[in-house]
Amino acid sequence: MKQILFLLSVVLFPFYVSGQNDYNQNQFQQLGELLPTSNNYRTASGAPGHEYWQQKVDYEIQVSLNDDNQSLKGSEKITYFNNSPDLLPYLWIQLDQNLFKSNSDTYLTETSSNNTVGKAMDFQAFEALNRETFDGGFKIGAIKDASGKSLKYIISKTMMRVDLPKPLNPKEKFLFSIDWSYNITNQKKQNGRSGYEYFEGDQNYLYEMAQFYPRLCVYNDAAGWQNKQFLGDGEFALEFGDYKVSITVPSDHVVAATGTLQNPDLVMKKSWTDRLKKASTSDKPIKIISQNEAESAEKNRSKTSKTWIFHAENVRDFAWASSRKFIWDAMNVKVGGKDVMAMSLYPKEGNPLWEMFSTQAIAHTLEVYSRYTINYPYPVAWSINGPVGGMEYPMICFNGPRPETDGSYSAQTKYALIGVVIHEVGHNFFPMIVNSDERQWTWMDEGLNTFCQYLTEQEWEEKYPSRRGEPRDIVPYMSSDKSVLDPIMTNSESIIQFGPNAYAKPATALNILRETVMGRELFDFSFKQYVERWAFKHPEPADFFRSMEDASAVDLDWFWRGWFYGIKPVDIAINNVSLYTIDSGNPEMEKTRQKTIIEKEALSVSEQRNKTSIPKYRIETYPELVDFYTKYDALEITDYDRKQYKKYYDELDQKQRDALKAGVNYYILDLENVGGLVMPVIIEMEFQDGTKEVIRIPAEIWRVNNQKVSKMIITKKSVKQFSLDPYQETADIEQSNNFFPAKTIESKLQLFKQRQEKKENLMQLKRSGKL
Amino acid sequence: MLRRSIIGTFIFCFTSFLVSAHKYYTSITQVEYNVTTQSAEVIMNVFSDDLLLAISNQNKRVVKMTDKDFTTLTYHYLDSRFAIKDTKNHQLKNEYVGLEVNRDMVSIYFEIRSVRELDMVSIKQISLLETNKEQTNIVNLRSGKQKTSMVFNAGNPGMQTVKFDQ
Repeated sequence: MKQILFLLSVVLFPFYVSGQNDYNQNQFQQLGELLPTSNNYRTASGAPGHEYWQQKVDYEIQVSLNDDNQSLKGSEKITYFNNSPDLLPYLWIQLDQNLFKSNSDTYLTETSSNNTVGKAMDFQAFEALNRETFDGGFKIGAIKDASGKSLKYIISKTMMRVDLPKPLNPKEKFLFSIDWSYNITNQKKQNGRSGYEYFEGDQNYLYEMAQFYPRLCVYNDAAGWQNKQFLGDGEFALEFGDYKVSITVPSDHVVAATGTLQNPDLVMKKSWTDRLKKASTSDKPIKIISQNEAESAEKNRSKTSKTWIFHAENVRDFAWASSRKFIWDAMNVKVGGKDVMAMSLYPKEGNPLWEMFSTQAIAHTLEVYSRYTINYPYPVAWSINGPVGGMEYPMICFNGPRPETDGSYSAQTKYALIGVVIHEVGHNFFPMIVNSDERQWTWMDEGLNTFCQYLTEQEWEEKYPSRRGEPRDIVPYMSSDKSVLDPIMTNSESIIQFGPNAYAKPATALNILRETVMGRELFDFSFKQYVERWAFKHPEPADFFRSMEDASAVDLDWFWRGWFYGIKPVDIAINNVSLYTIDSGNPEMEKTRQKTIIEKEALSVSEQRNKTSIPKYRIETYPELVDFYTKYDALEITDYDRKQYKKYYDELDQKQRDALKAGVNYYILDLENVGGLVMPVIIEMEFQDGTKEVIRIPAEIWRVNNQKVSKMIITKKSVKQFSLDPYQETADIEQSNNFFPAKTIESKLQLFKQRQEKKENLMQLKRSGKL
Repeated sequence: MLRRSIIGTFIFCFTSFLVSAHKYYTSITQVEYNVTTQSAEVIMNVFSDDLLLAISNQNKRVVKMTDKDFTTLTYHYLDSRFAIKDTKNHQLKNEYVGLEVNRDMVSIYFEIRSVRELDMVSIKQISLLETNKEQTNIVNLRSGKQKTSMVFNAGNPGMQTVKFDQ
């Protein structure tokens, strides 16, 4: 038994494989030893400490886009402020474009399919061919300090180390410049988070440009240099800083970017600036460039160029989009009394879907997110339609869904667009403002953002078909075998089942925390508190875990342990229910009752046969053997009993006498935690008279015994049916053991069949004109 | 050469509708034994864009969800990629029940009738493996209180057998 228990506990705590079975395996064991020790930079309450610091990096970037060969040439002046207490001998810089080098680790470490899968080889061959012909990755030119002296550097795959002439002291800054160029990827062929799209019809290009310049890695107290190589999944984190970016493009292109345009009069038509002005006070989207204008622009091929200049303050990155194909609409959003411009750019291929939903979805996101987090602090928020399916940058995001070529669209395309715009605009808050380390923890931005996305979608329309957030939707994932599951606390590049693990599970966990564990009021305050504490800073997982507890006084260590550090599912079973009625103490009632019970008990076979087989007992032959005990009947009601009862009854107060009279039912429920993830127990009781009552028991019911507990419930009315988790709010993966008496659970397939039948009938009715 | 150009075209045709910065390739199939109806109930959840790409490749034309034969083609495709065999190594018939579209996921319902028990069974789920090398198909199998999962991917596409303890 001991062995079995030990095995079980190893499975429960995959991170505690200590080889000792006397280690505390209780799910309520505090997380302290798993979390980093607090210090002056990060407090034990989850807030930035009094010595918290972070670096600042300012950029002055000049890039020019070559629309003839789809390449970009750039140079940047970087000012690096060392706010750390440390001496820095070198700086690390991210070169994300190197992902597309034909010999990148991303390609080298891809695990291959084998011949048995047939057609896969064709696809791979095609892809491999494409990679070899494409000359991808950054081509780094000169790297010089402020005096023009070349700096020593070394490129290690997607990272570049620039060695400083002398170590950079704390509180000092370092100025240097980098020249570079690269061939822009064809996003539709090579994937990635940016690139161009070519439109065969009008032979134009549309560019979504991001991760386009060498960018400084984060250096902080928790991780040192965040210079983990980029393999494609773990996105990125950068320092906050100010950007001045000049973008040179063909004169007939329209450019959107992070920040505020500095020279509108030089790059935009008068009519556009006029309409923009109108849109800046409009509560509905207004066209800045109409579809007609965009379609006639498609026919141009300008040979001259224009330079668009943008400034952005306190952002953690910069991205932009450019094309002559763009239709443009904009509207005003008031956030905390401040004006923000919500704007969309899209080619005609995005219409009529985009003009209807994109900008409205931006506005909706800013309003709802600002309520749950902090007020959106930036002046603009863009949504751009191009080749990228969905990707976020500060103030600007790229979203893919488009209608069919005939302009019609399915419901899922519509909700995919609204959903992706909410999601990507929402990323402004996580991780663009609450700047977590994406290369380590995908859940910290995707999970929190998907949770807020769910809240926002639900405010779009009643019963909005959100894909993630509802506990019942995570059940198929949670019921999978442990071989295909990872804890949420898994590095971004190593996650199996990326979407369910890093998006859906944390989003669902937070929804459960809000609705079932903490309650909305405590949750919302604590969540906002976390965002306020870490806005424009670099939080770590522990800062989130600690903040949520600090602001609510709810011990959530068991919750983080189960949902974030573990892979066990929720499956609570109601194994048995025993009914006890009250002992009235009245000898007339109790002794009579006991007597009838004893009399009802069947005689044993021997007793039955002895009745006839023994002619005479010895005590009948020798009556002198009869004494007090021979005659004593314990169940006989004596005067002593009656006196004792009177004394007992007289001492009862009225309430107790009423309870006695009412005949209260005591139910003892035997509950088992089959799944292993401790959770609150929600019990619905349906009484004989048809009424219902729900009891909510906190998860702490399992704090002494994580596997089995018994719970007494006292009711006046007798219970017909006990049901666990009646509203499916805990993601319990097994419905069949949730009822006492047991109930047959209709299978999902059978339910689907019934729905189908209903649908068909409705259609028939409609056809026959009866509906 | 023809194959390559077809695939090339399809890559242009299908934009990922995933609400995320990532595209990932996973399907989850639930196989459950229903004692009452004596049938194995199968629910496959796949991404619609992956499915469309697969059936387009199989039929050598661009298939859309709005096409009249979308359902038939889907069934035909999945029937060719998902198989259950009984203890005697007989392939059981997948009876198509219907499909449901929810956002970017398609749920396809199959029923396999006249199954006496599901104590020993062999399953193959190689849907979509040919369309993307990262595709992983997870099959969650359940018979009574017994549960297990199987994983199918490019490196592991063969029939897998499970035997539950009696």
